Amino acid sequence: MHETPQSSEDAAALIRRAPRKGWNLLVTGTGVHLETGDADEDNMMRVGTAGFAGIREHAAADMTVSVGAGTRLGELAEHLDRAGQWLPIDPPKAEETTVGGLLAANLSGPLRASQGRARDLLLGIHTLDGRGDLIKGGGKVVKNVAGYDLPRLHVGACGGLGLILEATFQIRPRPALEHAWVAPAADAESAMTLAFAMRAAAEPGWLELAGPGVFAADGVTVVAGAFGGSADVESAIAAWRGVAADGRLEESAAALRRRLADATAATGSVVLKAALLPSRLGALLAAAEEVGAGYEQPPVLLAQATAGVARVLTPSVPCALACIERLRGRLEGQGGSLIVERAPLAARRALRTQTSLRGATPATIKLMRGVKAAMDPHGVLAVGRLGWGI
Amino acid sequence: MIKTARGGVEISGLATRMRGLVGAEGVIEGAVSLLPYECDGYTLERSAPELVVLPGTPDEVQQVLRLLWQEGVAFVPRGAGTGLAGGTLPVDAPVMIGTSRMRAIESIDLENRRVTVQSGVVNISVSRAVAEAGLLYAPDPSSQTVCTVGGNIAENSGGPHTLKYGVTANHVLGLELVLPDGSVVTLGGSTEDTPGYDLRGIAIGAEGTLGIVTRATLSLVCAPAARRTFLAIFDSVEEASEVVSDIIGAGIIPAALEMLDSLILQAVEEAFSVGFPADAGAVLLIELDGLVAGLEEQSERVHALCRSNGAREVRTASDEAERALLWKARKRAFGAVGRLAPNYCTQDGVVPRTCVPEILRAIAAIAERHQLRIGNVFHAGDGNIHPIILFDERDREEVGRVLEAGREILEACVALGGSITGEHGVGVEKIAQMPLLFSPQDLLAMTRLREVFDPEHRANPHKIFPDAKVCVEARTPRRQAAM
Repeated sequence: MHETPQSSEDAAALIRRAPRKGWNLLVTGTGVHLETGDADEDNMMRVGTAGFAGIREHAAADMTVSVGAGTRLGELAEHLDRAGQWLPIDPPKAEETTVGGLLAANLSGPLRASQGRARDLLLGIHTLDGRGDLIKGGGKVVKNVAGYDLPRLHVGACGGLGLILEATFQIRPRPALEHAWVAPAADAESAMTLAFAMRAAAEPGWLELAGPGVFAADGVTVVAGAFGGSADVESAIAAWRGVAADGRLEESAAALRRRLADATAATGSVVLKAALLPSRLGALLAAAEEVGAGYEQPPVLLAQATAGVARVLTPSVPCALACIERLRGRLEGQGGSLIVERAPLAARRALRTQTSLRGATPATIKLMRGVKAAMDPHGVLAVGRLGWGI
Repeated sequence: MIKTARGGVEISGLATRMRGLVGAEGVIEGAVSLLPYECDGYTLERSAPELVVLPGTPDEVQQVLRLLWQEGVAFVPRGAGTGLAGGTLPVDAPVMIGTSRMRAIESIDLENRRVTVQSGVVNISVSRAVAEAGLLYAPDPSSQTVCTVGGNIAENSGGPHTLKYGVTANHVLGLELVLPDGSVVTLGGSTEDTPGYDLRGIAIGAEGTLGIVTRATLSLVCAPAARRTFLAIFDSVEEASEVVSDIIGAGIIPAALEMLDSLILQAVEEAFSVGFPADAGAVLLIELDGLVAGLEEQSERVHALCRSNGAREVRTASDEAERALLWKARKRAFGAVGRLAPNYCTQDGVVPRTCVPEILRAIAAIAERHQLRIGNVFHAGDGNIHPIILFDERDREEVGRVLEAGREILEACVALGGSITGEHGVGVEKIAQMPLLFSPQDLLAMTRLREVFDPEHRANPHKIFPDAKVCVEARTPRRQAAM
């Protein structure tokens, strides 16, 4: 089932019909991130956002842009680029990712290390709630504390709190130059030590770790990116060269960064995402490597060193399950988490028979259910997609 | 539905029970002792609470709120009381709960760049605690030597350096919130990503209407390797505004970009003799920070942009002492204004940054129409204006014009696509202006969210949202300085 409303009125009417029809609405942009979330998309009524595409207002001198939820980030980037600007968020499959998908799935990439994520750059939002009512939050100016911060609540809500129609972002001048320093390390622990040493030498624009098989057959590679004016970039590279002399300069750093982002959403893989304190990343990656060693195809390991995020990718459901069993308890015990961030539908179904895709029920579950009920009282917006039945 | 705020409880009996929970040193009662709590930085309305409770620990906050919940009593949270919108004014809430005794920095994790503090910790203490490691806590409201982390979270506070570094919401990883029924929840956590809804975002900037924040885990940033601070003098605010646009347009994001207009400059000159020409129209305070290498080039470009837009003079700080001197004019501006008139009140509005010249013209027209003197000292890079209206509170008729002018300025901000508050909050002061920005449905959605946390409106009732209870007609504008 699929509908593509062409106006907010059409979309509101669709939402109002949903309770009678028994629809569970899955708002879909280009569909490249359908595999995120904890609900099975084949049972849901898809609502396309192509009718809400387009750049509404680009105030270049104010460095803000208002854009329809169905707009692809690729199109937005091209538009902003003409004014020498960018929205510095680099999710996997960025070109095809829509603004609505970016927000609903809270997608990000290497740039989060210095530029923040969608929640840090989002200024305002227009949504339809589960009643079909138009709800606006935030505004179009870079500083605004009037009323509750509704925009941030929709980031990562999996489309369960409202159908996003339009969003306003703060944008930034696009840097003139971007280079990276690619440095090898023997193993995950020494890679983390090296990454922190590089951070101490010069603040990176981004700082990623890639496990065996990504850049080198063995060991873990540290990649630090610098962007800005040429003097800044050169001085950062020189500083990193000083602590990682056996590294190499990568001048096509933006392409490398996109490759790292895309690698976190490899087609056909079960993608496990761990969130933890950055200082524990080395041990986590080492443990994941050990678990994966028993499988024919070892998992791909990727991490964001300053954010404290690691991803374990495997095409194998048994390997994913083994990683969850071995790593989740430890992470949750340390205040972290391990979730199935994305996986093919069949893999999600298989995993769900054995474990929770999202991990332990949060202590705030009562509040989360309350927030869901407040904004979607009839339960028509992507129910189940967040996890824990919400 | 809002039920009765005070239950049937006797305050003296409640005070005795509170002493049992937090000790005698944590309970304040009696009219004279309560006088300092009758208002915050917004002095227009005053109303002392009947009882002030100062818990010593987050656990005590929980016990206090549980007792109030059982007794059906509403409460007002308070940090240092530096708020400028009356957020801590008790309205139908007899008990005030202060966080001032909860001042422990509980843990510092330099490697992971985060600290966990109790909510009564003063903002600047956080940066001081980590300064030696080359780190800092970025949000820096001008009241940072007294204001608390808890208060900053309630207001989602900014400061001069938010232009580059963002506001409080960008730097809080997790917080512990005691709900009005006494239950404790942690929103966010010690990691950057946590599964589920991002409930932090709702609590930050909720002005204490969801409960009391008792702890927070804050992320720290690396202190800049170097800074360059300039003060540029112009004939007119138009020229200075042009430089603001040009700097941003050139792809430079300064750490701070502040403007002072002629009325403020005269006041500063009279008070401190910093050497501004008597006929200067505007001054820009520009601060760049970052790596040494790139700063030289950026500094030259900023210099050139100032000159090409008619700057008469550009003063550059060559060391930390000179930097402090340049900032003095900005930071002491409010104090200096006190010399110009017996009273003044400060507004807080936002416009898109390119509309700064337009809003300044609108303010000048409003001043002329109401025969008032209005000065401007503000965060030009963010478009966050702080018009200062001068008056004499003994002149009742003038006071009326001041209030009218304040309302018109906020309306002008909204008409230009801006907001009624950039960093001070809505409190009681701007409730009437909320409908300028939000539809009844938007406001209803926010109220529904509030009721998930606080179904009976026990936490800081009658703030932010228009409701039948609040129809206080302003008598005199506040005199307090903004940040």
